[in-house]
Amino acid sequence: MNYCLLPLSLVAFTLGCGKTETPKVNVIDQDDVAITEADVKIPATYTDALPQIRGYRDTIRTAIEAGTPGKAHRSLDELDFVLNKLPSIAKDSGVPIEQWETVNTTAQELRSLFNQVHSAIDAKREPDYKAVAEPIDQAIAKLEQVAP
Amino acid sequence: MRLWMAFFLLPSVALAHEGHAPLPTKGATVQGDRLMLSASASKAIGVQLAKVELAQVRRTVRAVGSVELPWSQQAYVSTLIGGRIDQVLVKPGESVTARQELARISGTELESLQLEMLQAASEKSFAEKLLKGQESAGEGIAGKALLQTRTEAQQQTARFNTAWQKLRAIGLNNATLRRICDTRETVASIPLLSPIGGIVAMADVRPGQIVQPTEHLYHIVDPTRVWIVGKVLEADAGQVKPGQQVEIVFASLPETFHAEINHVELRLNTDRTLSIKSLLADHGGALKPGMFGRLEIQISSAKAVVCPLEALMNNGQGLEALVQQSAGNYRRKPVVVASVRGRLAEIEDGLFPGDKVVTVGSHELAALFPKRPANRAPRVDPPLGVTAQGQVELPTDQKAFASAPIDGLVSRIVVEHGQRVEKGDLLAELESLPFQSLQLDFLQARTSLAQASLNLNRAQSLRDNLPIKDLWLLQTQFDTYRQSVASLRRQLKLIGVSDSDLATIEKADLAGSLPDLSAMLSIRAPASGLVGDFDLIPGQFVASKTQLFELHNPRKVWVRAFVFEQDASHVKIGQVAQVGLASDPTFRVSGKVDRLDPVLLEGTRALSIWTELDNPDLKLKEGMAATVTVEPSHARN
Repeated sequence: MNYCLLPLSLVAFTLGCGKTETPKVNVIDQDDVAITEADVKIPATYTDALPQIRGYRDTIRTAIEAGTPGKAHRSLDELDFVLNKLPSIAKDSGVPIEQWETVNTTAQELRSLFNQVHSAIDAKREPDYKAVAEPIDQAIAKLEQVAP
Repeated sequence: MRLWMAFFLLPSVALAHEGHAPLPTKGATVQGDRLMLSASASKAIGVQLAKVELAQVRRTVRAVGSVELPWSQQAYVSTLIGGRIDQVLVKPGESVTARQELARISGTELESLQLEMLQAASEKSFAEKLLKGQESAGEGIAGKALLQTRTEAQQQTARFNTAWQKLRAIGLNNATLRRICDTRETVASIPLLSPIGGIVAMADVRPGQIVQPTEHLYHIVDPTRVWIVGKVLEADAGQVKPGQQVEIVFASLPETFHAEINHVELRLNTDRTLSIKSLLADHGGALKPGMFGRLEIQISSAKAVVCPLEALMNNGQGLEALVQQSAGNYRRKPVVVASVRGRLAEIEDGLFPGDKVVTVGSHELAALFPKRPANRAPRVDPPLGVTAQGQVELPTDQKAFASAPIDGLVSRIVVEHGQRVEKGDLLAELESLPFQSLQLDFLQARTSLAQASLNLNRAQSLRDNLPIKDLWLLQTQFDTYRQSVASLRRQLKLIGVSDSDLATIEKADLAGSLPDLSAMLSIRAPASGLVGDFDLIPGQFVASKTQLFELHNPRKVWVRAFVFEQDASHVKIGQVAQVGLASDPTFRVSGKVDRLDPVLLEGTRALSIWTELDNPDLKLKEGMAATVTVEPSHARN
């Protein structure tokens, strides 16, 4: 890496998705726009969160299946924020304390699964959504079993 | 590449300080609140993780406390009449049983009472014989003489019965009194009995010592059951209530004792603590009154999120933890801790069960992060209106006192601290010779009145044959006795004898068979309410007018606040006042300024204002510190 790449690296780490240790390539993805939590509609309740999560999954799957994985960037970023907040949302929504661990670990599992997809997109590889589709659906189903 | 790594590791080197393990020279990348750590760097630091878990957490309040003897486990022993100690039968430290003789008392008062009874018995016998003779003589005896003899016989009977009752009251039983009458031999001494079984803690008696009814001669204690009296800080006062479990440890004892809160005091102590009492039995004699210990009161038990204390780091602005997101990927998260118990922290916010937090190496890794920008303190608008400090008071009409109306010894206490009683309920009984004397005086006056009434009626029927001055004399006697009876009746009512009890006393006829008069005076509740803390034990001498019990009705309280002179003119009756408690930051109720002191307090030059509040859950206790904010009159317009 020569000195001229340093600014690019900085931009990538400061604003990019940051889902992987893989250094960014020197081509800027037009769909990969940096967002903050303020750009995401954080669901008010756990009940509101579930359809929102399903919506992100559908958008991501559709974009990948349509051969436009770059279009999944925004949903992947937003989903990551929502999943990160999900245990707090569950707590504030009155989900029993005994179910917080399920929510937390399942949300982490989902983040990990979607990160695999996201890493592939970031690396300009073909994302293998089918490989994670079933565990993603199972994890979402698990979240749906949790009742506030 | 080297320059790139150096750029990120530079802050870590700059922030590292002595005492940390060496920081990795490569393999650590910080991005915002995220840290990516290579396996080799993780190994170099020796990172270890622990899982955040759900656990049953006991929320407790701590307090200091001491062992005290309950009133029911001790008694004083006093004499009902003055006299001299003849024999001391029991010494301090000895065990005694209930009704065991402790000492014997003799004296002139005892002798005089017996002599009075014997003289009255002789006079009564003589008068009765005379009356019988006159009655059998029929019309040969003048009516006036017969009347006088009959009156004399009744007066001697009343005198005899009075003496008998007095001797009964000081402890001589009927069999002993009959024997004295039959043999004409008086008893030389009377016993001093222990009212309870226990250990003699104090004995202030020596042979030959002159003693009075006001002195406590023995103190008998039974420490098989003790009170643990805890002092809870005002800040925790709102959390303690009867029924909660308490663990008590003493520095000198290895075991932990368990009890339950039986009573929470109705008001705060002067040292701003709230007393709680737990009765502890079956302590195997290990606990002695006066011992100091530490109390842990279990407020609640609930499931909570816990994590090892080692996972928490203080960044100077708050606590945080490093949470593993995926292998080698960590996120720095702010954490709010509710409490710490041992090596575990109860998490209020920031971590959830299932999170994996760094417990070893967290401080080294934290040094890699740039320092957080300082938080600006949120702007707090000053409260609108006048704010003053104050404290909770019980309104004068919500508190009543039960006092001793006459000298006596506490014979029985039938209520417990904090117990709810209704107006007229029995609180205690006093054994009082002056009370018995008053009853006897009343009965004697009634007997004399009845006789005077009979004599007057008879004289009025013989008006023409009787000198007028004899009639005047009889009328005067009748009026005098009538006034005496009325006065003594009022006195009995004033010391608390109820109408029904008075009716029972009136049924006794001193001139007839032996009445069964009691020296026990009932102390009854003057109003409904909760029994406040009292400092009485059985056998204790109490003088007339001594306050025995306080009855509280804390459903309504006053909050008295002290407004500085410069603000005094802004406060008016009827303004809305917000009341908060120092012991409970979440407590806030609204009331109205009900009363203003017409004068400022001398010295502090503060104006006292009172706000009356409903207190349905009894959360507000007398003496609690409060803050009162009086809203300006226009604030709600």
